Amino acid sequence: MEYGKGLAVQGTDEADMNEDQRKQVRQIFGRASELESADLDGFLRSECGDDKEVLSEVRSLLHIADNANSFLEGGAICEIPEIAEEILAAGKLNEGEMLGHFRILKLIGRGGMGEIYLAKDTKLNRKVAIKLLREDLSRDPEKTNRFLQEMQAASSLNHPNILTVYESGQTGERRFIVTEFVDGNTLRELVGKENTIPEPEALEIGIQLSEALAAAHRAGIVHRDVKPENVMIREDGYIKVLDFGLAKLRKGIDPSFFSLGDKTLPLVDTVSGMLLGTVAYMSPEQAKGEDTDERTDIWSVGVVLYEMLAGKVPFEGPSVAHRMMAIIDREPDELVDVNEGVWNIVHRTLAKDPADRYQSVEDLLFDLKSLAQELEPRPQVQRLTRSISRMNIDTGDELEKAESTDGGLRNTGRDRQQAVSTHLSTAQRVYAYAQNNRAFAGLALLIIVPLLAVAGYYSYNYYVSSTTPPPLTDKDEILLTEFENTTGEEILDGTMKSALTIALNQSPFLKIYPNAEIEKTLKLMKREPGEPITKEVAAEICKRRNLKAYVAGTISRIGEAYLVDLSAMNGQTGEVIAAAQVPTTSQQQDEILDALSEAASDLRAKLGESLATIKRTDRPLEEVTTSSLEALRAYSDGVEAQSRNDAHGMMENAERAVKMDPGFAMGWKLLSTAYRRNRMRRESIEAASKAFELRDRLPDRERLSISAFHYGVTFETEKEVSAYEELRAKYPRDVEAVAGLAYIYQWQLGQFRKALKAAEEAVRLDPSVSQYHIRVVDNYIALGRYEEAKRAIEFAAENGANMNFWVYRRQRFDIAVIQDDEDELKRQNALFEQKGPNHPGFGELALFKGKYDEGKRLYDNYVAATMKHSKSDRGTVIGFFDLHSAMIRMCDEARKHAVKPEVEFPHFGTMKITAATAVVLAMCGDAERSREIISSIRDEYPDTKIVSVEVSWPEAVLALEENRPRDALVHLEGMTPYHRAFNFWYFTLKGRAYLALGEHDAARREFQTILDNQGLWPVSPLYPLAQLGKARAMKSKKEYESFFEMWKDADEDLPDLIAARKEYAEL
Amino acid sequence: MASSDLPGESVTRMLREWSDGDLEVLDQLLPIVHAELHRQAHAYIRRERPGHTLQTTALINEAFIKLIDQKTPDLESRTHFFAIAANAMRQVLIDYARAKNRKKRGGNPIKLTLDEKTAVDAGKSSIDLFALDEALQRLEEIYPQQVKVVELRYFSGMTLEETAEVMGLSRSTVAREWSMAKAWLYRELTRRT
Repeated sequence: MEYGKGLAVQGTDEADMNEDQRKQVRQIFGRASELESADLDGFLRSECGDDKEVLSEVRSLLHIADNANSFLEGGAICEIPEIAEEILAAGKLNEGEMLGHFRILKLIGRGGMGEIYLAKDTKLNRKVAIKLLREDLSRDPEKTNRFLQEMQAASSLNHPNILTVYESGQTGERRFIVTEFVDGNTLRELVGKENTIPEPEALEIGIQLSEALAAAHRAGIVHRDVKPENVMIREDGYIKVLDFGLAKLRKGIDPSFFSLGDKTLPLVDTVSGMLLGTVAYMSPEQAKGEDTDERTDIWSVGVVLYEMLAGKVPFEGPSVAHRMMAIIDREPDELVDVNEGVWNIVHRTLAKDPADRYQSVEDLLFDLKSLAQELEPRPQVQRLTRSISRMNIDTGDELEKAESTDGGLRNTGRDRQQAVSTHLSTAQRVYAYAQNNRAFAGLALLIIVPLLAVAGYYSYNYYVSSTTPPPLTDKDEILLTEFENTTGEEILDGTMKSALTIALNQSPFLKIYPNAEIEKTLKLMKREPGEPITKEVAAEICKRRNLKAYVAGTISRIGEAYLVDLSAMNGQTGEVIAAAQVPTTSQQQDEILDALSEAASDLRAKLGESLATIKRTDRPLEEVTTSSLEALRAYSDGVEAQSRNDAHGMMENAERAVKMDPGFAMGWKLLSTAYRRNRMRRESIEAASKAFELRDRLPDRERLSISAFHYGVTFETEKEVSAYEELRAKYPRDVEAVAGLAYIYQWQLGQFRKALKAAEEAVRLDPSVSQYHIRVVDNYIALGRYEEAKRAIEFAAENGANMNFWVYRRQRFDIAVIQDDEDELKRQNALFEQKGPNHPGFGELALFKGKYDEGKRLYDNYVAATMKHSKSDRGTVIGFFDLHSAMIRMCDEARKHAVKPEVEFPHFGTMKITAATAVVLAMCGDAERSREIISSIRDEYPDTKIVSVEVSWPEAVLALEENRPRDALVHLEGMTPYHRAFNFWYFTLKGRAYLALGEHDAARREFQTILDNQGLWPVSPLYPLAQLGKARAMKSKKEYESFFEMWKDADEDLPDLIAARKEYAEL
Repeated sequence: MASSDLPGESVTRMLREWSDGDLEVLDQLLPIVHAELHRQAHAYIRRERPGHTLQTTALINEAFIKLIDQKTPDLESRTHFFAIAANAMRQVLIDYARAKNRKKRGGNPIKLTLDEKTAVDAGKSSIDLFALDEALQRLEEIYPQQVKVVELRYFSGMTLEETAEVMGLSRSTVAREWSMAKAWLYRELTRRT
């Protein structure tokens, strides 16, 4: 590609050409540009004829076109990045401008989300900081609403070391938040670029930072963005931590966009305009895009401590990617100049595996404080405090004087002072140090406030009438009575109550008293289950359960039209507290649903729901459901059949419903569920996608519920989670989302903290459902919080759960094994003898102890007893025995059982069992059949992350068995970040792969993780085998001895035991 | 902030009137589009690193969604909107380029020269937008359709397919026009060094 010299001027000046010539040029150019260069000359000559001007022009343009290919391909906006700065200057608030009762004093900062001003609260006469949000962020109701819950939590944190959020508001379209004004410096200005902070001061900052985080963690909030920029040091020595809950919030910006499996945080960085420099404070799990928890904050505190002491962050690199790699892989350089105790603390906070760090900030805090006590000779403090107070004299101004005369405020200040008095003086020294250090002399005031806090809060707090209190609040539950039908038209029976339920369910404000609770109360009242809830029965339930209100509906004929009447009655007195009547305009039945939805909205408003939420969620019923009363009737019957566990009736009615109205999304969803219950996998998927296609016309609640359902059926688990999370945020009183999430987080994603939180929320919303209690207990056990697990079982019992149900018995059994609680084990054994074994715990315990023959006998007993009652899951039951046997390499039975697995059944658990079968076969030397099964899963299930996670498990086992440890590691990587759903498998396989590669230290870490987390799978043989793995990794006699102790009663012929003895002898 | 007071409905109405032949409506319409784009550009620059042309399209899409009455999103008003927005985008960007140029007066605005092969690489070179705008004005006189293509492709960051859709042309026609426009403009910009 040579440019001809003077090429550009060769072309004819087109000004000299006439219009015809130009047209020709354009045409010929167009056609010529598609030709190969070899044919070009002939073509041009024949086309241009004698017209030299045209010929030369086309040639010139073609030549340039060849070389100017990338010209203008970059986009104009690339040329002027300055555009941003200039546009930013617009829309700024001026000094003296009023924002509500706040007077703007000056612009003090500017961030990715908007500007920050120093302002004066003219009512309270104090300085505040105001963060004005960028307009486009303020206007997006989806986004602001999503922030809402998170931000309320953030602003509710009340701690002297956490920046206080005063209020939020709106000006024009822009939202703003008002916070405490902090006069001081950020930690960023003190550290980094070789600037260090002396140990006692660094410790003090670490302590206050940890105090703030501890308070947040207690409230269930993880900061996730701890860094020096977010730590302010006030003149009086207080540390203020900013930006609470933000990182979490950022994660939630658009779940449909960033699925859980993606490397979320790095992406989010660019979107929110965060500086990429903040990568430095990310934890390894954040860098890997894995699930994060409190321990992520502990890591970041470690990085901050390190930076204060070393003057640089522990993990550096020339690019973001390098820095992230360093965080994930590299050990930090040891700080040789610091006190050994300090280094030990920092080192422990910077453990790559969260399980190796401090497990709570409180633990960290304890160590920091003890050490500070040790290092800090008291007397110095006084002197430094005095020097601080001298310095402060000059900083006061009019406003501060005003503030100090305000009694209320001063008291608050004093309380806070007392709260932190223990370490206040050291902190003052920090500030003094800051003031005296040249590196940050002459700094302007710098305020950073939590971005976006409580944005959008006001839309929720607007009541219909502001003078009288609303009859209900969003803490109350209402009871629905039967709908009275005086028309004699049979079709309206039952239909109207379903329709009303659906209509009122659109409200995030109201919560309808759950059916299960009603049934329980009926039992207490010595009434028949399923008895119609007449007004009398309703009034009695309300009194017993202390419910605020019940709602009764009537449909009647008035002349040529219908009248829908809804009344809400005071649950205690029976008096009417709100009523709505809406007539139809004709005798058309189609209009009834319209009238009902109108009446329902009216009633919602009268009961105290804000107009804003009504407006947002109110949709005509026929849009939500169907315009066909017949279809609605069939749907109601289907739901009723579902509650009776009548899978067949459910299917028939649902089929009828969608036949009458193919646009009835909820009908399709019901049908899909019915098919699933009837084990019709493909039909179920089809019906789910029908429902999903119709989702756009649905209001939020149904749309999200159907989306989640659909993604569940198609194994798009991450999208399923997003839909449920959105539903949870929008309908915090709806149990569906948290119940679904608890299941997914626990079983599919192995994210037990999240599962626990969701399950606890489910229990809170509907304590009568045993499943929710079970989830809570499960997750406590998985997290190693056994005492809490036991309390949760007791709580389930208090709420009427049947303690003879095998799951509770199994959970108690598991805890007893872990805690070595012989009394409980004896009690369990007695129950077995009395009522028969209803769980395989004792059989598994025998395998756990290496006693194969006994395990098999107990298992056989259990299988026989279970099969007497139900034949449903024989495969599952035997499958578990096989899996446990295969772990200890006792394969005879397993090979016999591992027949072609059932793949038709769409339940997720079955995919796991199928994968488990492949694992068993792989461990038992039948690689070929194992591969067959793996590919059958691939064929049968869609190609999604969760399916590939599941398949990675047997793949990794196979690779290890075939002595391909590196491949195994690759497959194991494929299981992340959901590997905890596989209990010990991931760690076991990883440990074994490292052993095979001779990476002993890495292997030891994996096995140690198992030994530290028995709750993940309390009686798995992989647990003792992890001890063996550790012994092998450390080549330590002592560790071998611990293993032998675990298997002291084991059968002599276990291959692992024989091998271990040999190795031990050789040591 | 004036534009935010205008309900989307009236923009839709104006677009209709404009497409029905009332050219004066354009005078009312352009400032609105212009202001909206400013705002979008603001948001856009804050959160994205410049360099991705596609994101400009996203920006215009967003503007469209905000400005047009969502209940009547007929195809016609959509394509009209894009045509107008592309022109407005050009104006916005040129205005900035002009302002930037003024500031830099005394320095040498970078221009393309043929001796610098690498200068053709858009990723490395800097294009004098002001000069480009002048060149476009000349191109307008002889090949007006190509100017539209440039506005849509370069200033609005649309793909060939999108440009074809907005202009109601085939993809290959747009590709040819684009190729020739680039060659023509390139020659125009370099011959003045």
